[in-house]
Amino acid sequence: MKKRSGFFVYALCCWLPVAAQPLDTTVQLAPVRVAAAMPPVQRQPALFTYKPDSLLMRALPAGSVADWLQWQGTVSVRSYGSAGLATVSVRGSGSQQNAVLWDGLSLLSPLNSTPDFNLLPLWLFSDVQLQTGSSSADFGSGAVGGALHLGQSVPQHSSLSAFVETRSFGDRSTGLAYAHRSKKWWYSARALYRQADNDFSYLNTAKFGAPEEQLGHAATRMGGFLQEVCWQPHAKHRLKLRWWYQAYDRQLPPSMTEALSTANQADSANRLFLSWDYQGEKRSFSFKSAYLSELNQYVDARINLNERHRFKALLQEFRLQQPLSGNQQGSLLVQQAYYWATSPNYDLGVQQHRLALVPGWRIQRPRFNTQFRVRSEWVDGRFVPLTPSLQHEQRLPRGYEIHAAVARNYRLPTLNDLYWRPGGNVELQPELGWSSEIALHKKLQVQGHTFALRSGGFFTEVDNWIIWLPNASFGFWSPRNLRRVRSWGFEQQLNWSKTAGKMQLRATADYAYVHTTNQQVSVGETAIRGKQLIYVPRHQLRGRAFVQYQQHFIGWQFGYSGLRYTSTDNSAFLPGYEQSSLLLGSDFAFKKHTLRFNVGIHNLFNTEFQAVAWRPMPGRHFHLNITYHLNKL
Amino acid sequence: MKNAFIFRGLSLLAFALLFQSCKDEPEVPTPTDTYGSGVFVINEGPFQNGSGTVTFINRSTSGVQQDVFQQVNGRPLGNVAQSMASFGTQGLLVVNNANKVEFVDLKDFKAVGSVEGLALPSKIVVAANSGKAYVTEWVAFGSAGRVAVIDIASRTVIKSIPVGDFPNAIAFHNNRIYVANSNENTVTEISLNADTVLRTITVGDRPNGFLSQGNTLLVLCAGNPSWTGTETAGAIVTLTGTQIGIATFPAATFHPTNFTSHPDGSAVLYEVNGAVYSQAVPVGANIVPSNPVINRGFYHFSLDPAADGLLYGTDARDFASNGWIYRYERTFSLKDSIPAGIAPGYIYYR
Repeated sequence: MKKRSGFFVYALCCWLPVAAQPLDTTVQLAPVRVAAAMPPVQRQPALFTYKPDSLLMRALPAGSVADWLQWQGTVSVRSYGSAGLATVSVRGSGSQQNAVLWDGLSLLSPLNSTPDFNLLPLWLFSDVQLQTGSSSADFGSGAVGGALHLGQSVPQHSSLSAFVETRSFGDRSTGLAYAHRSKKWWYSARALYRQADNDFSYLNTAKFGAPEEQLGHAATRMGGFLQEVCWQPHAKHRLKLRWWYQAYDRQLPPSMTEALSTANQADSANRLFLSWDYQGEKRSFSFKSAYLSELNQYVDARINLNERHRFKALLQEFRLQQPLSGNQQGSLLVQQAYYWATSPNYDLGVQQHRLALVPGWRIQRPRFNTQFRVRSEWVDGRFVPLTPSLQHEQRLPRGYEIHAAVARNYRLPTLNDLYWRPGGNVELQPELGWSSEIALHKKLQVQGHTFALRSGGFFTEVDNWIIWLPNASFGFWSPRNLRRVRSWGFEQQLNWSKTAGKMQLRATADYAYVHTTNQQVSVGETAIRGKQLIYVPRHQLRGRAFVQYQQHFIGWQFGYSGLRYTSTDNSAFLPGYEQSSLLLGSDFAFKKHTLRFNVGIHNLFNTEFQAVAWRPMPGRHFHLNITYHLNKL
Repeated sequence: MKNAFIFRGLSLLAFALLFQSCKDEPEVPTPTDTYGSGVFVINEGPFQNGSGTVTFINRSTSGVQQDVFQQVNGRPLGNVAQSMASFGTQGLLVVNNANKVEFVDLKDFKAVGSVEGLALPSKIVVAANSGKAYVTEWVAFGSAGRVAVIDIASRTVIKSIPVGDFPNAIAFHNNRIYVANSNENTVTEISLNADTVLRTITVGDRPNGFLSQGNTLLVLCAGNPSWTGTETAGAIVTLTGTQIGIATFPAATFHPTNFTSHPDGSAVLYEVNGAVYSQAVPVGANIVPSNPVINRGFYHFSLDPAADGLLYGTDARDFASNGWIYRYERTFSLKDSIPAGIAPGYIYYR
């Protein structure tokens, strides 16, 4: 009883800051903490990780990573609408300060390092996970705010799945997933096609009388597939080959303050991946190699623009884990990357070579686990300052666990920063900073109720923050290392679940407070010193609850994003907004065959909101999908 | 200085009388209203996802009113506000990405109408008492632009006149309209009566500003910047009738901007390499910037043509926060500073 009361006091303390917010009535939602399922060789132990809820994945098979993150975790999604760009801010990071990794290899474009999370379809991956916190030592440039991991899990048996989905606003999609499994071989393929008109109606408050208008020039079309073949000739060896192709065409709609848009964007990517993993009884190592070829074409007839930005990359990685003495283990990571990029905004084609060495040491005891890594990196022969990382996990009495980490992080200037014509600045230095975090974790079972609570705080400071500013003397914009940005806050996850007969109930809540401000600014920018960065809400709350009865479920999701400033001096802002969705699903199984029906009502209360200023978002809308699954072919 | 103003005033009066005698022209009411006289700062607003704003400064009280259009009309002005002009009691606001010219009543700044469907409109000039406004349209980058002739009374486009690439400055001078084709080295001369192109004048590279000095029109040319691969020096071109004189800056790295009158009328002001310089007129063969009158650069810099008008320079800061206006005495000493909206890029004096 004493233990329980301690837990509840702890839980109450963790939620007090939330109770101070206007949404205190929603805080009672409870969470489901999803444990990471990635091989430990790939990841550092993250203090906070988010994985798509299985029922959410089932209900939204055609969704993107951006769609998922709007409902789970504490990431701020800056969405330009269904057809537009979607970037994220993790713990106050900039859109260029998050890593996207495919089985550990970085997918960030060297041109702008700004991943578009709308271009990452969930259907193609069986293993998706977002970890918050700095991880530059492991994942290299850009892993300042967090890292998104995309991967494939090993199919347990042969299967076939297919779905069709229809949504409001002419949104139709279909997907196919096939897996074949034998003792030494397996093959899996996933394919997705989606197209949408996105012609929803909205009130244009930028016009006199706020007339109802229909969003135009917002159609999208995407298709892609991901195939994997794996050969495991021996229990210790595994050889994998993957091919991921994707093409995305979209019309870019006008903002509410623009008259029209004729802009179109086409993105295509070809990604090949080859790996060899060895897992001995003590030692393990892996070789990975990937070839990326991506094209971004931007066409706008109105301004006579037709630009093709292309890059190719050859990525290689060697990772070794070697037992030392006792409970200690050494590791070595060697990464090499060659980039070739062409753009009409570069004088010539640009190349870049990166080489990184990351030795590591780990000690693991029953009650604690400590890791230390330090990354040395050379970019075109120039040494990037060392980025060390120290992590510690400690089991405490009464079932508490504490996680703590301190790390240096960095982000390299992009090729656009360096070579854009006009304005590129080859003298730019990497953004550098320190981050620290600590979190407490507790699991508890009380009379059939399972609780899990994770509560933590973080502090990050990034110096040499790159900012593009106009160069008055020459009439164009140019990037410079001008600012220092500090971010601190805390994150909370609360999960609850209970099984009552044939009924399963679970609820999850995620909350984050993020205080991100300019600490050092250039001359004449005093008005922005100490001010919250734009589009970084101080408060974020996500919640969802699911009730599952045999083969049927009903779920409710809730998301709140607090006020977001839209000017750097905080003189203009967008108000906070909340949205909810209702999901229902039923399975009908017959022998190996399963037919699933899912329906969803989104933006349940028809809330008018803008995630980005003057970019309309759809009101209440619906979806219906039917999935056929054939198990154990 | 005074003589220059008197001369210009008499010239305008003469033209006005000439036109008055030729045909019926719309009556120009005398502005006596809240926004009838003052300084209008046109703030571009955040690029892409925002709206331009108007900051109004009362000359006599130095009172400042921010975001006038939104305050009065309950809606934003539109994406990227560019310039302003007025005719009688109407103010005309050009909004680039919104492809429109908004008309407001200067009595209370209420929107009274608009001309929509323009193609990336940029700068505007109202030709004396003609009842016509001329608005440059970029149309598309890298191709020919045009000038929309707007009948102010009916708020309709009555003619489109093809001009050069990126028309980004416009002036009314000697009963003609002059358009700077800012991605070329030409100025288009347009007849006010017929609204037709009279000639295309070769000037320096990238003309970006005009100043009318009696019968002479001065054209400031920025020169090609370095990133074009063929960097050229800026120049001041003198157009007097059919005579053309060109005075160049000392080196290819000089790219002047912010062309405006000198308070004493005997010279002109321009900004180059982060400072404001004075240049005597008539301009000689070469220009040698020395001893800046203000040792800093501005996003926009111009002289208030009102009697005893001040010099106004704007600072756009990081283009994502509110900018500032720095007011200078006619002796170039700093008088005060006034907050503006995001990216204050143009000032209209009335």
